[in-house]
Amino acid sequence: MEEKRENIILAFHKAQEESKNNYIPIEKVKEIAKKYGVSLSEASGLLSFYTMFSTEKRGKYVIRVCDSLSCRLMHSIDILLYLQNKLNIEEGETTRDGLFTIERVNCLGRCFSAPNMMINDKIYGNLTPEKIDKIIEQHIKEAEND
Amino acid sequence: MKKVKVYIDSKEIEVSPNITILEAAKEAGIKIPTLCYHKDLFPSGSCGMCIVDIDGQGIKRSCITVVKDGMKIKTITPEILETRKTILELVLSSHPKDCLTCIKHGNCELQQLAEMLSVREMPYEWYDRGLPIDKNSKGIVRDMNKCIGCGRCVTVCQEVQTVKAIDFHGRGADTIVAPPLGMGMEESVCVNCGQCIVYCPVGALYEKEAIHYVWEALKDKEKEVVVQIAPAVRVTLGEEFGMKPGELVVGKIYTAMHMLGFDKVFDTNFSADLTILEEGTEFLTRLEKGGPLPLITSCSPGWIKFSETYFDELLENVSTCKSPQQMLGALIKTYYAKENKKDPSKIVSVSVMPCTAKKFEASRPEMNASGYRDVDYVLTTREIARMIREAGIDFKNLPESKPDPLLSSYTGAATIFGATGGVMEAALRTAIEVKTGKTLPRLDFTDVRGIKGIKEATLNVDGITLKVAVAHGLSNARELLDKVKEAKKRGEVLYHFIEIMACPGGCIGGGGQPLPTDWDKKKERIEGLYNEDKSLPLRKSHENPEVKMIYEKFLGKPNSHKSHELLHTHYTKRDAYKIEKKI
Amino acid sequence: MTNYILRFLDTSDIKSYIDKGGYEGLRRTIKMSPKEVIQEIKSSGLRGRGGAGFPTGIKWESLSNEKPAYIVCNADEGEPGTFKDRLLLESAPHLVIEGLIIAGYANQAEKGYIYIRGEYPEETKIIQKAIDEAKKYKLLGKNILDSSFSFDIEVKRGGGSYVVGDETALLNSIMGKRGNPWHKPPYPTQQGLWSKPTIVNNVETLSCVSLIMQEGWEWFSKIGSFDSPGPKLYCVSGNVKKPGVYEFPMGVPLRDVINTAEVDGVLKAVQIGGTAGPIYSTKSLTLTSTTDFWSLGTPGIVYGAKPLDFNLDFASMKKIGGSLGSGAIVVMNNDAIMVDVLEVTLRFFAEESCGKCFPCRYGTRQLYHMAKNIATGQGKEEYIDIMQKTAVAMAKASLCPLGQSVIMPLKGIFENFKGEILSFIRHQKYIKRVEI
Repeated sequence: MEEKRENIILAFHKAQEESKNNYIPIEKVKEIAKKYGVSLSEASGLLSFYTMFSTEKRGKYVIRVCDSLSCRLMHSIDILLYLQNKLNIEEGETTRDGLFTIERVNCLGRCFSAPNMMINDKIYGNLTPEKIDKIIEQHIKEAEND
Repeated sequence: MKKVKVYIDSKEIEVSPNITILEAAKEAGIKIPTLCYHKDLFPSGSCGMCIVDIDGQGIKRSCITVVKDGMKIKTITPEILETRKTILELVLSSHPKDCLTCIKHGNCELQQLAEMLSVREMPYEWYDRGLPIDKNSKGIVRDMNKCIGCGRCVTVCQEVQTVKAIDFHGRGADTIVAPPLGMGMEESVCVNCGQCIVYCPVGALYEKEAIHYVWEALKDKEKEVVVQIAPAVRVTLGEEFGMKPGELVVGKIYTAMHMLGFDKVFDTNFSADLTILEEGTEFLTRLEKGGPLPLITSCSPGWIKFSETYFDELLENVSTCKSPQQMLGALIKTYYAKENKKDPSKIVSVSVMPCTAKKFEASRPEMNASGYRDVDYVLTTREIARMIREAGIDFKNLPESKPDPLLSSYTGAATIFGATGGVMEAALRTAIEVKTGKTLPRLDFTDVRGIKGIKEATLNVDGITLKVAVAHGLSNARELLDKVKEAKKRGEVLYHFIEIMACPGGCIGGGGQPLPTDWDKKKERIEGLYNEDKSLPLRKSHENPEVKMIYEKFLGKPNSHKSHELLHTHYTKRDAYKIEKKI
Repeated sequence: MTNYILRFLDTSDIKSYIDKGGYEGLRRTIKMSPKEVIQEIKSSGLRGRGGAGFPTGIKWESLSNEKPAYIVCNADEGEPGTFKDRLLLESAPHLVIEGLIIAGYANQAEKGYIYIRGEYPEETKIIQKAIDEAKKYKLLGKNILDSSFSFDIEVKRGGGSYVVGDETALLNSIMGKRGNPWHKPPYPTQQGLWSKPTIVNNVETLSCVSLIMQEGWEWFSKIGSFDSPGPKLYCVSGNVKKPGVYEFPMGVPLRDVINTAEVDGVLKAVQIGGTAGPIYSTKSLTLTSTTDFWSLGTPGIVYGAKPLDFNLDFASMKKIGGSLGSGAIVVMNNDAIMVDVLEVTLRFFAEESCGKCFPCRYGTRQLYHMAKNIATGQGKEEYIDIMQKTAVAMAKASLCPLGQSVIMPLKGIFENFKGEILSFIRHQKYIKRVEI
């Protein structure tokens, strides 16, 4: 990947994936800005436009719950409330053990399996409370093995 | 070029082909309301105020639509008026309602628009954005609650000045303009040039006021309050009182200063002449020794911080001379104190500047050669105007008077410091005469005058070909110095002497000047300075009698040990990518 | 019902794609001149499948001659209710890639980009793998199929933004800037990426380009309707028993699509074209004596189906004051509360507005604020008129289609369900709502 300005978003994705907490440390933003030939203010402004990126630490797993029309018609709010209750955090917060962050997002492009949520790179559809329990448990186990 | 015919509100006009409808309407004498538009800057099309109805195309923004032959345009229809009003009501629904205490009250484009469109109701629910005000910078205060998102400041900082201290952050209605990664202006690469303040239509960006401190000092009977007036102020302060840009009001300024209670009124033009002596000598020394060349001027503090951040390879080329403000500040608390048997610890040194970066310069840690802060407080042109108004002084009708002697006489060379190319011309008048020992036949170096971004001149001095360059506006400075930097790597000297001014137009276009401003006003201000230069009996810095006296009595000679101690400084390299959070 | 596009599902492996006749279109293309290829696409009548429906051949023809030129595949599928591009990218990536290469050849470009939304990481990996495969088979890179034509494709990712689906915002994003759209002119075909001529085409459009070059323009033009030829992928979701991507010829009657997906419950309203699409309802029905009945299950009353009896192509939708858009169809049944539909829709716009132009930046915020108040029991009756006035101003003065189209769903909701919303506001103190 050439160090040209057109690849800066790819660089941010890579930096975020490499961190264990779904964020881009500020020092990394500086490094990328320098390498890709943009000023710090432009890099910072760019980063803040795109909602997938964060400069604050988030959970090991970012749960993105879709709340656009099709998912809402299929009760996405219930899914969101269930997750908030289960993990004991509000939307936008991270669990104390640093494992999960809940975010409410717009259409994930998988409306046929509404209601949907993404956890990091994977998408889960046709959600029910039971399915959510299983998925969360899977991730907790995975985190323990790391 | 073949003209095109357009119809605006049934008025048939012929205009040049490649202009926008907004510009064409202006030619026809029709005013279309605007908000985010500024004629000095490339239009962004953000606000939607300038919408017009184009026959066959519907509603379009006139600021970014180019005229075509035969276009029929209506600037007033019920639809347009309703839409404009709705947009303004929307903007006002999140704008703070503290007009009465706002610094832009009476000079705010949002107020003017609200009045023009007769906004009487607020149908939307108003909400407080609740953003903190950034007051930590030495020169500039940032209140993002008032920011309407026009983007002028970002355009100026990123493209006109290329300082790149601020940019848009966030998205949608949460968009704000900020330095990167949560830093404040103070920790960012902001050079305090204040051009963002110049273009801000509302009170979101303004100078860090020092008025309160100056009033306190003036009240204090124990203190000796001394003020100096910058070159550019004398042709612009009048604008704050309804006078024309470029009108020479220096006599009235002296009167006003005395009326306000300043104990001594001096003139920065004196130390501008002094700077020429110091810098001219520095230049001739370098010319003889073979380097480091080019010599680059150092009186623009915005440029100094810019060079420390982006051109540290050229720091050895920057003149070690302080700016006239700082030279005079150091001399006030030493030379003046000595001559008049005053206790320097009781002197409060104030300056009136067209510049916000001067506030930053005065606070630089090394600016204490006198043993005290050389300059205690800097007031911008706008601030002194506020003080004059507060005191109830009728500035326009003041009689003229003289400043206090010792540090106030000046030549024409000093007064042109306020215009781009002025420092260069003043320096050439002295340097060439001193080097050749011959009187110059002509004192006007018109090659370095004017508003072109980068100006060059080649002069033949006693067989030596002298190449000089002048740049104003930091994007032009960057362009010029990138070339110089590259040439330096190759061991080539492109120019011998370079003048850099951070603000477009020079100091007369500074961040502290009367607002609103545009290139037409700047040109008039520049003309005012050159007119004064022409009218003065003495036009060369080395002929200034008070300057001759200070060398005899106090400094010895230019670049002497004493001069170096009081009138010269050093610079610090800065990291353009430093991240520092003070809060 | 023949699936011309969907028959290429499960061809992410290049061999399976070639087996089905894949890359034959490219072979045929290389033997023609670029002008001839453009003419073929023009003659087919193909219209963009991203939402705007602009005739692809005419777009290609209008490309300025300046070099270098670029082709960009817009895979930033963000329109709510749309998921056809995801399917194509993950299951028929070579169909898309072939179309992109053909577009490059026809427009004499040497570089193509696929800009894929950041929320499709798996699809990004699949398409990159497919690109690498195509390179190995000399269908990409230097001297494609031993011709003098060279073409390279780079994959770019988005970072989470819907507005970058707009072509000018997309180009800004590729150039590494904030995703603000810019005012046209200049059009990307004259000044796009780095001020050079650029074509932006949707994933499905490029898939159709492959099909056209495989089977010929005449074949394509005979499918679908006269003004909108070709097959189309319609995405049905919401209160239906069988949500999914359905391929029909353009111009299929709405009822056929909905019946195939099978409404779950009693049909109340339908939104077509995405979040910026109008909302059609069965409420504005009148008793008719036509034999064309469509039972909606409400006991006793049988409604004539005339209001929902329209065809899904560009001209027909335009005729009824709407737009086909991406071809997304979201079905709402009687359990759907229109106040919530309003809130979800306006929240979407408020969160996705880029913030550059004032009407949209401030308008979407205030609209969402009012919709949220209504939804959480703090609504006021005045809101309805204020919201309409705001959306109208936005339609006239917003800089890009995002702000301009907020009026569409709003109009549909207020025209058809004003009574329901007013009733909600009037009785809100008796309704308990969760604030989220």
